[in-house]
Amino acid sequence: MRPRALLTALMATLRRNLVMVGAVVVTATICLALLGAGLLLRAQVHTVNTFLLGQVEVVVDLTDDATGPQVRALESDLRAEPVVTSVGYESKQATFDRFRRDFHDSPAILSGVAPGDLPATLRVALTDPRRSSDIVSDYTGRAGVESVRDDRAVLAPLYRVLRGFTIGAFTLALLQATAMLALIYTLVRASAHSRRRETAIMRLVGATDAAIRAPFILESGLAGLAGGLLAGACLVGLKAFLVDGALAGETAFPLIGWDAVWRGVITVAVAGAVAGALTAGFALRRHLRV
Amino acid sequence: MIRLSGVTKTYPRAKQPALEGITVNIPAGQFVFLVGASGSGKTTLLRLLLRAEEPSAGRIEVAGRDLAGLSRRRLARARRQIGCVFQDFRLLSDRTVAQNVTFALDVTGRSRRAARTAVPEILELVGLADKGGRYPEQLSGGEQQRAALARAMVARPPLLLADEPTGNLDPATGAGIVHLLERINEAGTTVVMATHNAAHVDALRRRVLELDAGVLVRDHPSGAYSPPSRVPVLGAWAS
Repeated sequence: MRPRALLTALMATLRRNLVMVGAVVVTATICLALLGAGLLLRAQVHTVNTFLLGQVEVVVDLTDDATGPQVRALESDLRAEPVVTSVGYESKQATFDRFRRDFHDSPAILSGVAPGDLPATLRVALTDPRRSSDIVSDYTGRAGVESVRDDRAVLAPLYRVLRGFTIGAFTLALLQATAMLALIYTLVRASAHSRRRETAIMRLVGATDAAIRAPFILESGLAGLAGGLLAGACLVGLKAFLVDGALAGETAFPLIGWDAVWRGVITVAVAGAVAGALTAGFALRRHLRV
Repeated sequence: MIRLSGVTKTYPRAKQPALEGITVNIPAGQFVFLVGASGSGKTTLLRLLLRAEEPSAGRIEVAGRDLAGLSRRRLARARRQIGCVFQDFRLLSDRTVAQNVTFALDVTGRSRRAARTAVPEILELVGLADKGGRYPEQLSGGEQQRAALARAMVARPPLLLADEPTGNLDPATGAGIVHLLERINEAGTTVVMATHNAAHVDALRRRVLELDAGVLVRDHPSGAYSPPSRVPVLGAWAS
């Protein structure tokens, strides 16, 4: 089929099914925007993880009566652990200095703490912060150890919230996807019915299966692509106005960058076009005789 | 051009076969009338030649190709060798005559340049040179059938199948269409025309294949619509 003839057929079928194509575009936009939001949330979890990789440490609080040999034994044992990259001793004074640095804008907290109140510590950096639980369980209760704290545990609620939103977005996207695919299926069926005379003539004069199917597949592929591009625009808006605008000064964690957004935009656009075209191909197998 | 060997077609859930044991050979360049009562299997036979239906048994060759062995792509190419017209014209109402004819070239990938010369030529041949810009509803029945013929012949196929092409037309207009088919045949195209119209068959005296309940009962090289024994004798009625 010549491209110009294909374009004419495509325009004719789009005109005829304008309302239905509009419905497909709207549904696809909502579905793909949710998918994109899920992807961005996942990217955000990854961004936080990467950030924390270099930041999170396991902190071994030493008892006040810990002896020099006990501390040295702990240090050498920790260094021998394969997941440990470095171990640093921090005296009671150094711990207090760090505390003062971390809470310098909260004088109420600082005023209640004296240098002797805080324990000396061993600060342990890990190759993978996700494997901190081994260190915590192995060193808790050892001689000279008051307690073992995992910085990452503090962030568990944040991870739970981010994961919850991600799963919620993907679930809603999945539900919306069933509506989108059902609509595309119905669009193609209606389209095939309204063009049955034309396709019958195409068959008779010797048009190939591909030529007969192409306008339908293009129609729903384009509707899916339009939905994908609109969903992409929503993601760009989300980044520009929410992430870079409202949230920018509100959090100590780094937020997703534009590279993640563009990856999301491309993914939803391609997903829209491919889902549209594949569903059309499936519907045509059942509703168009070639 | 067409070779059928022992072709039988039985539709699902049908008690009787629509066609049974048809063996016939139609050489290139012939004009053949396919006659018989309604339901005798004429349309089924034409549909088998297009492979719009598959035979239940037997072998069908069109233009040297065994239709059963063709892939989907080759079947599409084989259909380009066959023009078709029907009783109900089957024109696209939202396209002009010229666009209807061009459509057949467009959807089979023929170039725009080819269409620019082929379409006016074929419209001239069927007598619609000045009506290419009209829509089907603006044409008479005869003109619509001429437009359908133009679409069928624009790619110059060597075989034309016509299923009751004059069925919806008055006798004079129908005679004009048959005359046009005759001219197409004279130009070298094999024509197979299914018809109920005795006058057309009797006027041309071409090869006649008669079907009766799916069986080929007569094959006459220059026959009439009815065999001599069945031609009503008016004198006998009068007496």
